Amino acid sequence: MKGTISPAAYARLWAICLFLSLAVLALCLLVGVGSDGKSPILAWPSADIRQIRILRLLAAALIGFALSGAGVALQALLRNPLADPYILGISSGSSVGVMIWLLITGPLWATAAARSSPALQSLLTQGQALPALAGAIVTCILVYVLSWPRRRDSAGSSGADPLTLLLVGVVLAAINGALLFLLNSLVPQGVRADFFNYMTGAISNDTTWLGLAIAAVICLAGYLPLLAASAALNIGSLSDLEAASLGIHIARLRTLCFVSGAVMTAAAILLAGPIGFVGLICPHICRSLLGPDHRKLLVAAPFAGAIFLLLTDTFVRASVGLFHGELAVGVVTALLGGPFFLLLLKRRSLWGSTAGGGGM
Amino acid sequence: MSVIAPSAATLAVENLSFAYAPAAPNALSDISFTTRPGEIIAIVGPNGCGKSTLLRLLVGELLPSTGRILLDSTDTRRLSRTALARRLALVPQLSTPGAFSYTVREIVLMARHAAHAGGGGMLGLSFETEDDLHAADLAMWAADVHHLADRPITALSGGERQRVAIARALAQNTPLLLLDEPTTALDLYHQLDLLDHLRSLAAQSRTLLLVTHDLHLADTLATRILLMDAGHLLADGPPNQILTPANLEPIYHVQVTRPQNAPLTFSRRTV
Amino acid sequence: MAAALFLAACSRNGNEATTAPATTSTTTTPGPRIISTVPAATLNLVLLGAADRLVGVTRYDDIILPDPQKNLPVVGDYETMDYERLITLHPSALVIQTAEARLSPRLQNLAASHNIQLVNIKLDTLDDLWTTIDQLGQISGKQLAATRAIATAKADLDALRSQTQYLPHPRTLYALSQNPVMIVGDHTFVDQMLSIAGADNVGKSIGNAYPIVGLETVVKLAPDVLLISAPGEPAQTPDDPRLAKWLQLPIPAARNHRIYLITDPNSLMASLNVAQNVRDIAQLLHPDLSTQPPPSPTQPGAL
Repeated sequence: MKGTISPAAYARLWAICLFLSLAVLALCLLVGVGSDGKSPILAWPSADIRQIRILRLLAAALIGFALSGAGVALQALLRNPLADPYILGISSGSSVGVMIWLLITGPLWATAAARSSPALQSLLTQGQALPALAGAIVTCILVYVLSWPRRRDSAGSSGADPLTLLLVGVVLAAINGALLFLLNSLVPQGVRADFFNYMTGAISNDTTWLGLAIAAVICLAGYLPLLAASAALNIGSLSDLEAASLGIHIARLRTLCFVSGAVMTAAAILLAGPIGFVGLICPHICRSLLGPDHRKLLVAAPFAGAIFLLLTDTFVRASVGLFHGELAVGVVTALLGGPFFLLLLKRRSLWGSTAGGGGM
Repeated sequence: MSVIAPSAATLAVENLSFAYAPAAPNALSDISFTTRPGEIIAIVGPNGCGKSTLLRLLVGELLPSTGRILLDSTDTRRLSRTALARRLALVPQLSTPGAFSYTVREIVLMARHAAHAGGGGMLGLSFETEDDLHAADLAMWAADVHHLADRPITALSGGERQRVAIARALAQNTPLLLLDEPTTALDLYHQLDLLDHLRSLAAQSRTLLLVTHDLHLADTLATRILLMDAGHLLADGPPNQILTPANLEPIYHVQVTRPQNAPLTFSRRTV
Repeated sequence: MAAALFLAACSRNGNEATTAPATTSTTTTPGPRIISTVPAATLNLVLLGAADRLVGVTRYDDIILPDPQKNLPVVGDYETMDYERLITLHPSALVIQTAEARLSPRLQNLAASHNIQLVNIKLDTLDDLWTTIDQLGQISGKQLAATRAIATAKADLDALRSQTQYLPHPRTLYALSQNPVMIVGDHTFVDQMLSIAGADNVGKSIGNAYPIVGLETVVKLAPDVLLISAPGEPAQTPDDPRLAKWLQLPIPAARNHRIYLITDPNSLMASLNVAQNVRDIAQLLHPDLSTQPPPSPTQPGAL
């Protein structure tokens, strides 16, 4: 029956999403660059290449999964389908966290190199998870505090106003961008900061199996509590008063949403620079296919994100010859997602002026 | 597996006061009343008298500054949200459509969430059981929205949305039902339909609390009136004793006449 | 970041051959007063023994300048220019590096009205380098030193080329940055350096200038030698943890442990030290070369 979900239907949805993702992963594994490193070919890769490609594809899939999941969390938090970790500056906030970490630990990196200490090097690399989390959470709190309307005395607020939300996001992203430039100019000579990586949103070359595993654990730590609260998220999209009357602890739910959203964004930032619009496109497409029920959305949207980023990253890899080098995958997602976003904004504002004019 | 809700419950408000900020003046001052099963209580008073604030406190969205609210002799602050939602449902004044276009059925089924929490559901996903679907169907028939079941809530008119909110509150199947201006957006047919239904609920010893500006409605439907002004409870009793010119004229600043066995009439005071 | 700076300084493709304006100026203070907004120009002036002619530099020049000049005012770099400071320093010449078509008319007017000789240099090829050194010699009054230095550098490079040209050329990839991997492509100054050092630059096949590639492309290019720019970082150690991720790549360079960090911050600079820089690379590529006597080095300030 439409609008409901049974355990069997839920299990079926999981199976379909998992199967589709694995199929796309396998397909993407076949597409690669040819012998001269330029033209795209379709072939089963050699063992050497397979190892590199699988790691990168898994990273892409995890980033897509995390960003799309974070998008759903933020959209539920702000009751607004235009929310996205990139647009709201949360991705860049996470990058700022990592950049501060690089700046503070600069001398230690040099020590690790000079003393040939792989343990210290590894600690410094994997330790980036903490500042990435901190940066994302701080930005997320700022977005929430700044864009949430003041409590009204009637039936409670209906969510973040799209215009306020976008303005807050644009300004925070600009501030974070400026902070990145500022921090980069403070990085001492001889410390590698991979500044370009944090500005353009490419999948990092430094990904290791350990790094991937850490990011996956962080991603799941954000995802699973959100999934468990998916029925509550549906009710949380009503007004505060209605949600309360239906048995929802709205403050707890909001905290969960922004912690989960920030944690998943940070997981993505550990593997790549800020990649935009994944968290916007994928949940939206899933919503139009499956409806807004978070019990379905929180399964379908992250997998759709994984599939989307697998495909865009494969395009990036295969188009080396076309662009005389590799594009950052963030360039492709922005070119696809930007127009999509504007279209969505246009449609929403039309809707808002006709149906939403009355009410509260 | 749904938790069987008790069919009757008693709500006791004791010396309840509330201020929106520590320094702000009290929005509610020293309110006390106790409900009995089967009562239809209308809370009336002019704009800003504290009706909505009282409602938000009863639902648990706001917490009392002083005093307490007892549900079957348990302080509501010691009840979980879901335990409260199993005993007390709300029809809000204007239901927000929200940003996401849930279907009417999905909205009504949200009422069943509280019944699952703690008991049924896997991983907190609370899948709908046959009982839930049945309860939702009954509620949608009762509020005359069953034909809209698969329509998105965002595509409905204000009156239809109000009926969906009523259906949702009915699907919660609680002994206590709060209604905030439930008839404002309804056409005449659905107003009368609702009133009939509310009376039959009261006959099943459920307690209804109704916030309204419509003194005629309060007069005809309610068995008890709570008259409020400026955060105070002025009078509490049956309609014919409370809705009198002596009570109403000072706070509404209108002329009130009440002929024997005839409805109340109001006119603007000539200065 | 140093790689990015390097790029910005070097990859200005398509600019026409530049000539200094013929207008030579007379300044109020004795001797030329030079402002350099290009780190490579600063380095070359230092190498020509004209460090004391500098009155303004770039924010990246600290490691280049000798002690007396360390605290010179910063005027600008490849993207910014402090016009107020520029004028107050009363320079006789201003060294810039920009495409001729993008030369700011305001800067040109400013230079003309304040009798500042505008020297727009180009450093895309070795020939550009010689032209630039000649220009720098003229504006600093070190023409003779410049001519000699050019001859020496050319001779050194010729000597190196003759040493390496009949040796097998290993497939070489030069990574300017590690994340993302930016490599040295065709038609670049560094490609010319690699060629003289006896390398087969496999990055040429990807494209001109400095393309960004993925690890997979690095593997496909199968370099025998991988050079990684790490300007200013600590020198490479045995079992250096910084190389760990590269050593895991299935490339001949990793199997044979022929991955080298180039930590000299000036190693990519187009300067009179180019022969020394090329020799450093050549010795990494052809270890047996190091046993042969090195050509006469260029002594900074000795001319």
